[in-house]
This record gives sequence, C-alpha cells and structure tokens, in this order.
Amino acid sequence: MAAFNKINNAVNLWVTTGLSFSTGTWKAALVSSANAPSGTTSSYGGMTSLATSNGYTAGGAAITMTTSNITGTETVGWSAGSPTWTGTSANSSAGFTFQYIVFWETTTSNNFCWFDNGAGLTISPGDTLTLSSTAAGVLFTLA
Amino acid sequence: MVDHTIKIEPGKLGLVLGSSARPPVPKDDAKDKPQVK
Repeated sequence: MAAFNKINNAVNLWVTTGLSFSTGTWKAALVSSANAPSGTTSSYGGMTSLATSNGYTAGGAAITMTTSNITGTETVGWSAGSPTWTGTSANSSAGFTFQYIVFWETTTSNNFCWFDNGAGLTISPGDTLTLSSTAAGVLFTLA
Repeated sequence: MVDHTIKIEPGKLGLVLGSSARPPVPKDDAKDKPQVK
C-alpha cells in the first residue's frame, strides 16, 4: 500500500488561489526511483517524471476528480475508471519503470500529493498498471 | 502478462482552528507538590 504524502505548498494554494478539485484538470504522473519527490516538490515543471515511452505518455493519465461534503468532512477522490497504463514495446527498450506517483493540476502545474510504491516497478509489454484506492476512489479527506 | 494494481492509502488532512484545537493541559498538581509527612 502506498501512503499519502502532502506537497507542502498545496495548503498555501488553497487559501491564496483556491486550488480546485472540481474545476481543475488533474493528472497522475509516474516518476522514476532516481527522481524522488518530496514535500517541497511544488511544481510539476520543477521535477523529472517519465518521458513518453512504451505505453506511458509524458504528464501521466488524466483523472476526473470528485468532491463531496458530508457533515463537514470533505472527501476528494476520482470517478470510475481508475488510471490504467499498458506496457508496450514500440521503442527499443521494453515497457517502463517507475516508483512514485504524483497528482498534479495541469493548468497551474501545481503538484498536490505523491505516493511511493516502495521500490521500482517495471511494466513490461502487455502488463497493465492500475491505480486504485483502499477506500473506493478516495484520494483524501479534509475535516 | 501481469496486472499490477497499486493501492493508495487516502490522506487525512485537518484544519487547525486556533486555540480550540489545542488539547487541555492536564493538571497534575499532586506530582509537583512536595509530600508533607
């Protein structure tokens, strides 16, 4: 299980620019072991993620975020259709390898959070990679 | 062909609302006072 890691600047964006999960355009990007993100990796443009290759498209997979508020607890997640990638062998090297997943907003290039798979994982040609949540599509809650 | 599924653990973010978020300081007078015999 990959634990949630907050990008420190995200809380600042909430109160200064209104970082939005309902109107923003979000993606989940994959990052190699050599380019570990941290709490200060605020911008997607300021980090190195995987390039387009063998089933992965630079920038990552689009995600449609959902929001709900129940008795004061805001729940943010993503709608049905988990981000999924399939490894291919179109190029000289087969598949792609990653360790980290970063959620970012494409209009502002702001990173919001990241997850660590714990080790590099190679998606070989024909393999699939699916991102899911232990709580049915929930990314985080705010209370 | 292998199907890899990565399960993420949802984050829990919280607001800190001024002093009301601070837990009360327990009074433990008995421990600090010298015992009178």
